[in-house]
This record gives sequence, C-alpha cells and structure tokens, in this order.
Amino acid sequence: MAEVSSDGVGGARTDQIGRDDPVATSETRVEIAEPDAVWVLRLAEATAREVGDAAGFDLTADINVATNGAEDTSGAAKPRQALRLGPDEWWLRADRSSAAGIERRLGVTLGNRTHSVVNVSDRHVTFNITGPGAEALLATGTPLDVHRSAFAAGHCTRTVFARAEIVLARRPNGPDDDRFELTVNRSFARYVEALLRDALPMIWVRKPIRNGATL
Amino acid sequence: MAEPYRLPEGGRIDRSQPLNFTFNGRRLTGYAGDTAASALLANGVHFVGRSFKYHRPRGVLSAGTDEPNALLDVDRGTGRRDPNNRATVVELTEGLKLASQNHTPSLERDIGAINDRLAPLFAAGFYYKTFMWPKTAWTQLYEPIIRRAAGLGAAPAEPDPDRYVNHHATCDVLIAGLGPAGLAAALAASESGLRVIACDEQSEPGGSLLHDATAEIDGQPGSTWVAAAIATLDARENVILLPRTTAFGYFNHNHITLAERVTDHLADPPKGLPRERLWQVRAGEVIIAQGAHERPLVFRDNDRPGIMLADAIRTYLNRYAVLPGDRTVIATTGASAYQTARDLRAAGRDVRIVDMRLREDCGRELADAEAAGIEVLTAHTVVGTGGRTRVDSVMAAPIEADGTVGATRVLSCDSVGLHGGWTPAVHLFSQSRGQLYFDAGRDAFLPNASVQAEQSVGACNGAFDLAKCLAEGDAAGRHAAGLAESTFSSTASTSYAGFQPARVMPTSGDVARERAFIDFQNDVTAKDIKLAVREGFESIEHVKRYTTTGMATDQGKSSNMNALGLVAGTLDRPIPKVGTTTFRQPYTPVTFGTIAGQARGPLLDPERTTPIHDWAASHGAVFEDVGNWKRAWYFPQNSEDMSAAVLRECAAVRSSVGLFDASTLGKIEVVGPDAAEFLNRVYTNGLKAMPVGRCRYGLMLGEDGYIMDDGVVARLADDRFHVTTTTGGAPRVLSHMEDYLQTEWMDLAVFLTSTTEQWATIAVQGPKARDVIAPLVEDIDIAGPAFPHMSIRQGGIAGAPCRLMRMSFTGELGYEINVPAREGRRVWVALHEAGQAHGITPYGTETMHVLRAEKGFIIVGQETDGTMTPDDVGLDSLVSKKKPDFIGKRSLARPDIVADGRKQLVGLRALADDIRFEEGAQVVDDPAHAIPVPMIGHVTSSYASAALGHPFALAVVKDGRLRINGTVHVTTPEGFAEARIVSPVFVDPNGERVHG
Repeated sequence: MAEVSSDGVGGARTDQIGRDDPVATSETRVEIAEPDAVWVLRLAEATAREVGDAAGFDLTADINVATNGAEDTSGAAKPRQALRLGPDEWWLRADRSSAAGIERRLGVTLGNRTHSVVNVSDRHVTFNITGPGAEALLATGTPLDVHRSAFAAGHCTRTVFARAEIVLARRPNGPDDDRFELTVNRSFARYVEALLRDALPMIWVRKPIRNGATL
Repeated sequence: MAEPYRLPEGGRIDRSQPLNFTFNGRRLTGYAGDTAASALLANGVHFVGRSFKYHRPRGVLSAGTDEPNALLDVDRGTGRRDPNNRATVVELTEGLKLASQNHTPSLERDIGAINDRLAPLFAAGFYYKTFMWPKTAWTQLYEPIIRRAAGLGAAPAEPDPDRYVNHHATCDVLIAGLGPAGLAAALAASESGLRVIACDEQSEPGGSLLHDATAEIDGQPGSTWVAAAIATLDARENVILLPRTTAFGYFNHNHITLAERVTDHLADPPKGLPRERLWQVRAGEVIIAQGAHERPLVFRDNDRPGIMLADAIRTYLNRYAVLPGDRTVIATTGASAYQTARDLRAAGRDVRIVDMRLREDCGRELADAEAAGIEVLTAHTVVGTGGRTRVDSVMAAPIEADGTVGATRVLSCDSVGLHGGWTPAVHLFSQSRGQLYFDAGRDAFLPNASVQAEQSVGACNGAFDLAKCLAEGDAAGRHAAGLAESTFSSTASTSYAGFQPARVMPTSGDVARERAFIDFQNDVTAKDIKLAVREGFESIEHVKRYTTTGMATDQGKSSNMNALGLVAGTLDRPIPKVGTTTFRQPYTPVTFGTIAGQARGPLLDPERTTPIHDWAASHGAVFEDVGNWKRAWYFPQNSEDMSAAVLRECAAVRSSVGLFDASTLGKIEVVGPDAAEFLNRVYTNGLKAMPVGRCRYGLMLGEDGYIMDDGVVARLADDRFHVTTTTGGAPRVLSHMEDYLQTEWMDLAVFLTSTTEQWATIAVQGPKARDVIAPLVEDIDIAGPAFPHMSIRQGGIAGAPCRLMRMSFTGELGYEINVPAREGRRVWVALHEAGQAHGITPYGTETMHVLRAEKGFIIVGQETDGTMTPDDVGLDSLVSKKKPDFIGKRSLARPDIVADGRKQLVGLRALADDIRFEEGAQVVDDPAHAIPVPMIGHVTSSYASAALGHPFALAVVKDGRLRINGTVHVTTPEGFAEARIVSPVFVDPNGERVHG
C-alpha cells in the first residue's frame, strides 16, 4: 500500500498505526491513486441538459452516476469523467496531462450561461480499493449500502467514512471485480489511510459454518 | 475421577478435544463445546460465587444469557482478563483461568458472609434508613465502606490488548435468534434470493432444539432438522449466518446493533482478527425470535448451589452430557419441567417432582411421568431447602383444600430444578418502541402491534409449542420476503405446555423473616418487595429503584415477572395496572471495546494536517490542536522554552521577516454574476464596488447582530471572489452562506465552492518580506505602488501557480501566498531558503497571536464570545452605513445594542510591569466592595511582548473606551492587581509599517 505524506507526493509516513499487523486478505488492496485534474462544476440542471456535453464531459447523467465522456482526442491515459453529485453539482475529472485547455474549453462551451468552474485538483486524495474484501473494508467505516445490488459500478455519492466526509465511486475493474475510489479532503487522508490499514486484517470475511459453528 | 458428572456418551461436545482449565487455581478438565458452566458442573462444582449483598453461596442457575449467579473472572492470558462473565455463556478454551468473585479471602471462607447474619440491617432502602447518624460519619465512615463493598469483580488494570471493529450492513430481512422459529423464518425469507442476515447469540444455531432430545420434526430428531436448516442457509449466497452474535439494540428505522464475538472461543486466535465486531444493520424487515426465559420459584432459601432452572438441567444433560447430581427434586408449577424429570429418569437418575398444581389441573405430563416411575407430589408447595454450600434437601408440604399448608416432608437431594413458567423475551420488540399487552392465559406480556417493519415469532411471541413456532417463523419469513401465503407442511411433536403462575410459593413459615429470593443477582427477596409496597411505592419503576430488583447486569431476565406479580398481588391490582419496567439497550452486556471499535488512541478523532506539517515536525515544531487541525504552535530552538521561543519569533518578524503556515484558514470561492451583491449582504462592509485585484477585511454577523466570523474578501474578477474564514469557522460559514442562498436569496446567481484544502497558504511577514519573495515571484509586479496593501494578484511563485495577497495580520509588511496544496511544501522550502539571507524565522500560532494582539486585532472566539458587536470591539468603521441591508443590520439598532454600558475592547497594562494577567481574569472597579464584587469586564488576551518589553493584555470592559487612562483592578492568583486601561493598539498606532 502506498503511503501518504502530508504533501501527497511521497515521503516518510509519520503514523505508526497498524504497522506490524499482517494483511489478512492479501488480495484486497488499498492504493493511493495518481492525482487527476479535478474541477467542481456548478450549473443549473436545465442548462446541463441543454448543453449535454462540455469539453468532453457528459453532463446528462442522473444524480449519483458517473459517466465517461464520449469524445476524448487528447490521447490521455484516462477518459474524462463527470461525477454528478447533486442536482447542480458535478466533479469533472481528467488526466492531469490533458488538463491544459479544459478550463478554457469549458468557458467557451458554457459561455454566458450561469455557471461556476473551480479548479480543485489539489483538494483531495483518492484511495483505490480493490479485491474481494473491498466492500467489507468500506463497511468498517461507511453506513452506505455498498453492495453491488445497491451501489453498482458507475455509481458515485457523497457519504462518510468514520468521521471523515468522502466521495465514493465504484468503477468496473474487470469482469468480476470492481474498484472503489474513496476520495477525501487531503487533511483527512492520513486519518482515513490509518483506519483502512488498521481495519484490513479485521474485515468480515464470509466463512462456511462447520458443525453449526464458525472456525 | 475426572468429570464425575459427565455421562459417558451423548451431548454435542467434542470428545476428541479434551481441554484443561482452572477454577480458583484448581485444575479441571472439559471438552470443546463446553461452556465454563457445563465444564464446572461436569466436575461437580456447583458453588461458584458469593452473592452481591449477603455474600451467600451461589451456584449456576441457568444455561444461558439470563444467568444471575455464576459471574466469573475470566483470564485468557496476555492481559486478557475481565470480571463478571456469565459462566453460562463463556465457551471453554484450553488453559482458561476462571475465578469466583465477591469474597475475601476465599470462596469457601468469606468474611463478607457476616452480612447474611446481619440481613435485617440490609432491608430494602437500607442506605436511606440505616446510616443517618451521626451526620459526619456518612462521608468519613459509611460511604467509604459502602463504596468498597459495592460493585462486583475487579476491573482490569491493564489496557485492553484486543482490537475491535465496526461493520455496517444492509439487508432485506434480519432474523434475531435462530431457534426453531428463527430458522424457519430464515429459510422462508431467503428462499427467493433476498439479502438475509440471521444471527444467534449461542455458539451454534438451533435454540431449544439443541437440548430438546425428544422433539421431532417431520419424523426426524429436532437436531437433524437444525443441521439441515443450517446447511441450506449456509449454501445460500444471499444469507449471512452469524453464530455467537447477539442482537442487543433495536433503534429507529430498523437500525439494529449486533455484537459478534469473533475470537473469545479460540485459545490461540489468528493474529490480526478483532475480538468482537459491532454490526450496525439497516434492515428492511426484522423478525425477532428471541425465545423465552424460564422463571424460578420463590420460596425460603431457593438460592443454594445445586438449585437450577429445570430447563437448564435439561440443557446440561442433553447438550453437554452433564448431570446436575445424583438425586434431583423438580419443583414446578407447570408442565415443561416434567420433560426434565423424564430425561433425568431416562439417564437412570433418581428424580421426584413437587408440583403446586392440583392433580386435575395437570395435563398428560403427569400420567407420562408416573408411567415412567417418577414420584409426583401434586398440590404440594416447597417451604424451604437445606444445605450450605450445596443444597441437600427440599422441604415439601401439601396445600390443603382450605389453602393452609400441611406437615413438612423432607426430600433428600443434591440438586433441584425450578420451574415457574416462561417469560417471553420481548426486549428487542420493546426497544423498537412496540407496546406490550398482558395475556392472562399465558401470564405474560406479549408484543402488540408492530411500530416498525418487524414481526415477533415463536416463544418471544408467546408460542411455546414447537409446531406453532415453526409455522409462525415460516409465515413471518414469507411475509417479510413478500411471498405468497405459507404452504408450510412440516409436522412436529407436541411438547408439554402450560403453567400456573405462583409468584411466591405458599408457606407455613414466617413470611416477614424468611428470605425467598426474587432477584438473585441483586439479592432482593420477596419480603423486600412487600416492604417497599408497604412503604408506599406503588409504581413498578419506583419499586425497582427502591429495592434494586431487576437492576443488575441480568436486568431481571429471570426475576421481573415474579417481582411484578408480587407487587400486583400485594396491591391487589391486576398486573396490567402495575405495568412493566422499560426495556433498554443493550439486551445483554456489551464490552466497551465493541462500542468504541477502532476509535481509540490516534484513531479516536481525525488529526488534520497541512501540506507543510511534516516540514514543521522535522524542524522541531510543537503543535497545538485547533479543532481537528494540528497547527505548529512554536518552533523551539536548542533548549528554548515556549516563552523564549515566542519572544524570539516575535522579534524576528518585527525586525526582519517570519514565515507562517496559514493553510488551515477556511477558503471559499464565490462565483457568479451576483457574487458581489451576495457578499455585500453577507458581510457588514461595502463590497459591491470593490475593484478587481483588491481585498478587504470583512466582518460577518449573525442575525442577532453579533460577530460570527471574520476574514478577507478578495476580488479575482467581476464575478469571482476568494474569501477566507477563520480556521474553526470554515464549515459553519460555508453552511451559513449556503443557507441564505438556498432559502432566502434563491434569485441570486451565485455558487460556492470550498477551496480550503485546494490551497496551501504561506504568510511571509516582516519588513524584509518583499525582499524575500521578490526573486521567486513570476508575472506579478510587486513594487509598492503597483501592489499596495490589501491587494491580490494571480501569477507564479517558485514555478507554482499562485494567488498572491498583500496583507498583514501582524501589522508588518506582509504577503499571503496561496499555492496548490501539492506545491505547498516545495514553495515553503523555497521561501525558507530565499529568506536565509534575512534570517527568516518560521513562527507558529502563538507568535501570530501575540503579534496581532500588539496591533489590537481581534480573534473571533477570543475577544468575542457570541455577544459582541462590531462597535464593542472597535470595528464600527467596518459597518457600512450606506447599504440598504446586510445580515444582522436590524439587530444593531436594538435598544440593548445601542445603550451605554456595553463591554468594549481596550488594552490593559499592569501598573507593576512584571505582571502578566491570566486570560479570563475578572476586571473590577473596587476590590474592597462587599462580596459579590460587581465585575465590569474580563481579560481576553494576555502575552509577554518583545516589542514592548513588558506584558500586555486585551480586555473587554464596560464603557471601556470612555475609561482610557483610568485604572481598574484585575484578579490574579495572588489577589487583585492594579491596571491602567489603554488603547488596544500597542504597536505602530498609526499603521504605517504595513505600507513599508
């Protein structure tokens, strides 16, 4: 698992929590994601419907759904993603390499329509959580129902993890495997990382019942 | 002989896994699958503890969570010791060390047993009556003794070495309790693929079927049906089956809490596992199948070791292959105890039955027992028992036709089974806020209409017949799953049912003297309850608190109905008129660890850190908590103490230049065509006409006209502002603004975005500040006239994009440099290096506080307390007189706000130069005034000052500005000290230095 230093670009960790604990579910991983370029877009719902697509971001999705933009000619490693978090609020995420020009293009497309674009690329840290124990790991801190039937790949929402506010997104990561993206304000990143690290060996794992009892 | 009371075969224990354990140091053996209680009983150990108040010898009463007597200290090794474990629920593991409690020096010889002889002193409410005189003896003598005597067991001295964790879960159907009714419900509810969580508090699901040796379902033994049910449920991916998991709390919106015991049953648990896991379940539907608790009978000396509940005897016999003794008397007022007698008889033991009921009131159980060769004394009461640390006899006597009690007959025995009926466990239903009704036929409180999406089934719903339990469970499971009506067709054997409630057994003895226990754990007797009623306590809630019946850790699971029935009988009122006490969470005791989960030590609360935190830490900073933030407080060098470090840092800023991490300041980006209009209404200042590129110190009021927050409003474009707030006020200010936008001014086109964490903010302050930043700044003309005080520019610094503000919270020439957070540390280091030529000094929050106080700048929350107006703190000039409105404007015209005599911000200087006042010290006019001395104000800030060479303070004093140069008196730990009221601006009163 990668480490969080306070400047988010690597360096010695300062917390000691759980350092000696073994990782019980080695297939379940928590990693710090490469930072994206991120903007908060605020726009009236009707305007978004009218615009449809802005700078390659799809603004037509329902609330709590993240979509990939249709058009992306930048050659960036990641597609442009729009996470709709409220009636008039989107997070626009793009590869940092393709970030230049996006703000200008948004301005051109949205023009005189009332809107707000604020660059928050440095506001967060995102943890990628993968593997069979991902849901159980999240369940140690978030009351949200993260079961596939309730929070399928493509969903995103604002919620909490323990005492930190987070944005959680679920993305397809293979035929039988999804990736959760847990995004938290950067000053809470160490707290969340320490909790995740501490909880990993303790997560609930389904075990068969033998002779009527577990273990 | 090892385990003399263990049968050679049978039971659900694993005879391939023998285990060693100790009880009070004595080595004993048992098997995997035993509880501590069953293993002790297998070794013939009944006497396992001393009672709470009278220190009477006590044994194992029950076989489950309702156990009031057998509370043991359990030591699992390596610091894992805790008291008050119910022996009946502790699973036996290799090497377990058990010890009895509440005795000195030993279980057998206990000086506290004297209390039993002094019992008349300890009647109900004895504290309120006995220790009245002399008055002083209460605190000196009585209270210390009572406190020493009170409480059970010894708290562990070491920190808990175990880990605990939380698990949130959502499901369609939750089933609490997996006896026959719960299993049937789980099978039906999970049939169609719904998400089902099914939990049971025991080590294996099955409930009564685990010890009901004669029950049959569809022609097969009950235990076979249980095994098949578990296999079916376990194979269903949609089912989470949780043994060793107690549903202990039922809250609103079908939020149920479960305590899962993960490792206590393992002698050597795999590393990393939590000891317990708290499940917080949000369930669409809840099915409660908690079962019922057996009632003991109340008669003289009904508490001797060897006296147990009848169904507990059956549990030990059939589930653990343990005999209660060699000769057993079953004392009963109902049918189900006959099955215990028959099972004992089938095991070849000597057993007799004493039944209070008349022959003609008994059912088929009587004929069955007599056919099995068991002697049954019908229409007989029990008037007492003999024995000391083990029961050795039962005194039975006939109840004559006229109700009198006849001649006593002594029945010799070594064990007694009690059965006084069944009490449905309505705890979870009651916690769900459901109302109970009294069913006289079953002598029980039962669930009435559900108030949440909940159903109660089986014995907790008053169904005591196996077939009915299965049918109710199946129907509830189907209903919860939205399936069609039941096609349930299982057949089940019928069990003995029905009882005649007794409360207290008839006796020929002196009821005013005899001790017949109702609440075993709190040592409450029938005469205590009667005394309480005689003394005027009529409400069951009052009787409970006066006598402490039902208040122990078992919460009266075995005793409540007997107590209630006795109160009703004594008052001659029907039971529903007396009512029942409230059932509260938790259903059974839950460890603190389970509730705390991971939230202990550094994980108790988030520690928020800035991008520059690690640099500060590695440069020796001492941190202080500001809300959840860790902020660098001061940077001691060598062996400096705090005051030396702060004086040095202050002097450096005033004479050269200092570097300060202000990243925690709240930041909000306000964007939209109406942004200026919006801010103009939120702040007191006139902001509408502020040109692009300028900043203004802004004051924000609540609707009450009092100062709520302050900060700087900077205009980046016509329609875009960068607004700062106090560190602690950031979330409050953002919601305050959103509140107005969303509910009051929906017509304004403005959007707010929190950018607190987007920007690292570095303050460079001091006469050399410009010289430090000049070589690093890109694309901004920072020459004085081009970039005046209170301006903002966007450009670059050290290769990072930046929002550069020229502003000052120190009174010196200064800049606040905002760079993207990931660049924060790098830019900080670049500034620190660039400043070396000027001796740049990193400073912390304490120096920042001193420097601003020398200038008379307020800190919201320090100089203000939620009742200060702008004029009170000398900032009336920041309140626009031209604006038609702003939040708080009307309140500023209230008579109280404009009246004389308000406290105003002033400076204070002690006449004796070396006195540094305490923050919060009271200010008075005349210390010789008779007490209470009228207070005219208090000190809000107080510091030593390098610039002044003496300490100084800020204070709020009534009409303070009119009293400048007057003297007042200030409280100090040594008495009053005289101080002169001065202007709050101590340094650079004309404000020239910021323009340097």
